[in-house]
Amino acid sequence: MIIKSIAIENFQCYSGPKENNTFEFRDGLNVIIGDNGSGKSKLYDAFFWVLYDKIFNSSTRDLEPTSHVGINLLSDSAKFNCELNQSVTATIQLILEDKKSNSQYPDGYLLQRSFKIKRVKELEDFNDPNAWEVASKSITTAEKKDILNFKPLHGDDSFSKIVDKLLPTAMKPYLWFQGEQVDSLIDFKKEDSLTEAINILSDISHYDFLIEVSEKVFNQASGAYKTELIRNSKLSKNANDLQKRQEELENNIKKAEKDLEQIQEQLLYAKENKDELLGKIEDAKELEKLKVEIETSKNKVNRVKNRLENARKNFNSNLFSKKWLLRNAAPYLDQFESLLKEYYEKRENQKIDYKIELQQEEARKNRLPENVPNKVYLGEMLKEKQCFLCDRSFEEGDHAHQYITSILEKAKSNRVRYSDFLQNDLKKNFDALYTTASYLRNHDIGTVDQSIQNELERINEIEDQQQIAIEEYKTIQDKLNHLLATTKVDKDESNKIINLFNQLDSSKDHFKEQEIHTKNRLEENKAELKKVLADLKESLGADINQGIALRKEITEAFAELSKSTRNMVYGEQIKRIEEEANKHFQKMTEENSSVRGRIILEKRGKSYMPKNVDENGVELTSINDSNIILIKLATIMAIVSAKGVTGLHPMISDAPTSKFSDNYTMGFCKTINKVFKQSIIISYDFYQNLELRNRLLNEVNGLGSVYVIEPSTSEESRMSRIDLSTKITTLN
Amino acid sequence: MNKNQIFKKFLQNPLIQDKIGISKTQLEKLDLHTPCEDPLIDVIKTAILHMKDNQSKDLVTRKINQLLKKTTT
Repeated sequence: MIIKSIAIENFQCYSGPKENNTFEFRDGLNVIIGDNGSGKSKLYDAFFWVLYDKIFNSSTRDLEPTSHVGINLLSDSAKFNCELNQSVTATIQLILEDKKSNSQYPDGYLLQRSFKIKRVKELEDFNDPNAWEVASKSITTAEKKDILNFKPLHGDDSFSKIVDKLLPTAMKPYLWFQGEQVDSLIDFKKEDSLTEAINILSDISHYDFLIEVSEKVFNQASGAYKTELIRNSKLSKNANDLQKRQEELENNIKKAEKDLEQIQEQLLYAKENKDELLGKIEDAKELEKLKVEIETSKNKVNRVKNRLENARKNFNSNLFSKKWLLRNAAPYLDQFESLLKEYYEKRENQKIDYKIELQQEEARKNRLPENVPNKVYLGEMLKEKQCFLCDRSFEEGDHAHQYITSILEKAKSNRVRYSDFLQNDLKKNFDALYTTASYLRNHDIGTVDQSIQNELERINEIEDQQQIAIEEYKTIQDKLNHLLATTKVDKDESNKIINLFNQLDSSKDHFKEQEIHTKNRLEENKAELKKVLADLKESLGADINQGIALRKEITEAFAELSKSTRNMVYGEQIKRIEEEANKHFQKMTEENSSVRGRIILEKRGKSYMPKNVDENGVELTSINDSNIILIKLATIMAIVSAKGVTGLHPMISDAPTSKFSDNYTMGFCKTINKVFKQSIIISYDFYQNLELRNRLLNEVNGLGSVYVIEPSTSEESRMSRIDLSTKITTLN
Repeated sequence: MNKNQIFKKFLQNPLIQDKIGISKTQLEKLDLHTPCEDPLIDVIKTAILHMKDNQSKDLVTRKINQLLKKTTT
């Protein structure tokens, strides 16, 4: 069954009569293209409403019945223009076609749903619910085409029967979905997700039913057998001991099985989480390495920078510490030496001259009588108060006393003193300067130029080192920035990822060991139980009721077979889905050279996880979000194609390719035609991307109708929605 | 998948060879309505034939127990 047309009247943004809002569809891929806010989602809602009497509420993310939606179901334009006491009706009509294999004339069906409201009050806000009287429910019509005209079908369930034929309940999730639902629709981490799909293909629930029944009958038969054993074991001590051991072993086995299940769950958890980190671990390691490198490099830059600063700062202090101040001082020292020599000579000459002069002066000023004794005697004369020359005595204060005293004083004052001569004499200082200068000349001054040269070279060298260190730092920073731009690993979580990865790795090894150990324990217990049961049987011999024993044996085998057959069928269906999914995946990716590979569904505990592998079975690590969605879409197609219903139902989807590149979008469009006889997709992808739109129109074989929808007024100029309608343009 | 196909799946299970004394060729010829003297096969048939919905589990268990009582006494 396919949809021939949908005609919409006064439903949300589709205001006006049906004739203005009709989409006609053909076999193949039908596409409705529209910008955001153009009415794409409302069209998807229109399909859902006419079939299921519910509307998607975008704020609650839930489906609401018509009675809850009320007047909001109708277009604002129709409500605004509705007069008092007049009614306005939203109507959607679907025309369906069911081609029968045994007839060249298809059956035609008409499904229609209407919802009426009446304006009962003139209120300022026409959208005030109090202004309207609302019908209690929507009205449906189901009609069948009789040669030329549609005639009503009788029976209350005729509408729902046609809907179920169009979209069977079990298949509906795979025939009718929004792009954003794909992720949850095929959730590989949930066992139920694939089991539901497999149930559609193989009625796996029937096997689950048989497992439950078989376990029930086995438990009953096993209980009866135990009672029989207890009854008989009273007859024999040996049998009693064996039975006790049997119970112990059975408990051990149950415990071991439970332990094993837990260990395997933990092992799976560790493995899955480790695998999830596989795509990040290399980047995380590289990130950590670069973080260490950048820290080391930063320290190096700082060290070199400090050295350079110190070298520059110390350059001036070298004027004193390394005596650079004396650079070019050698000629001055020569000059100083020469002047000093001259000074010494002059000083000596002056000294001699002055001495002579003094002596002459002394002789001149100190002239005593010819026979005058030396001055000592003058002092003695004053002391004795007697002149030794004339031998006369005198008193203190006498003329003779005063005369002798004055002569003595004069003699004293005329004594030659170098200190008088050497007043302001700097010889000692000059000597010291000369000693220092000689030392500097011999030890430092000659090396100043070299020392300065060496220091300048050292500074240049440090500057070079600084430049190299800065460049190294920049290179590492560039690497880090590049990695951060391309990786999914956050800068701050890399260390956490590495630690977690290592922890999971060691947990995995630990659980693997535990698994082996527990399996061995289980096998040992089972083997011993088998022996105990055989011994018990032998011990009891003919005493045991053979009928009870046989019933236990048969039901045990039945339970075992039920489980095993269920797993076998499940595995077969997984394989079938995998094969079908690969066909679609290959088709969808044939124009994309980057990621191709093959999908495998790998068993992980109770569920299956998809892996994209190359021809050698090596997992492709470049798998991204759009690849995952592609794999899931391939799986949805696989379920439909494996079920063998490709020609029976349409597929309707809103934005299925929103996460795809152009090539993937085209791959999807070309592949979907192979799986579904008719598909209707509502998409933004072809709206502004005119190149992609042209590819759609020119490259897809079996293209159905292609429409562009646009609002009658742009969103910017739209003050209210009272003038809003939807313009529908056909492109082919 | 109809009931006979479900039954056939049981017969295709390699484990069944260990549980019953029927050759592979004979197994292949069996279907849900072919008589067979093996009690395990009879149990499987009874379970599948009486399987309807989830509520029928007790009924199917009872039918199997009746069958077992009859065939093993």
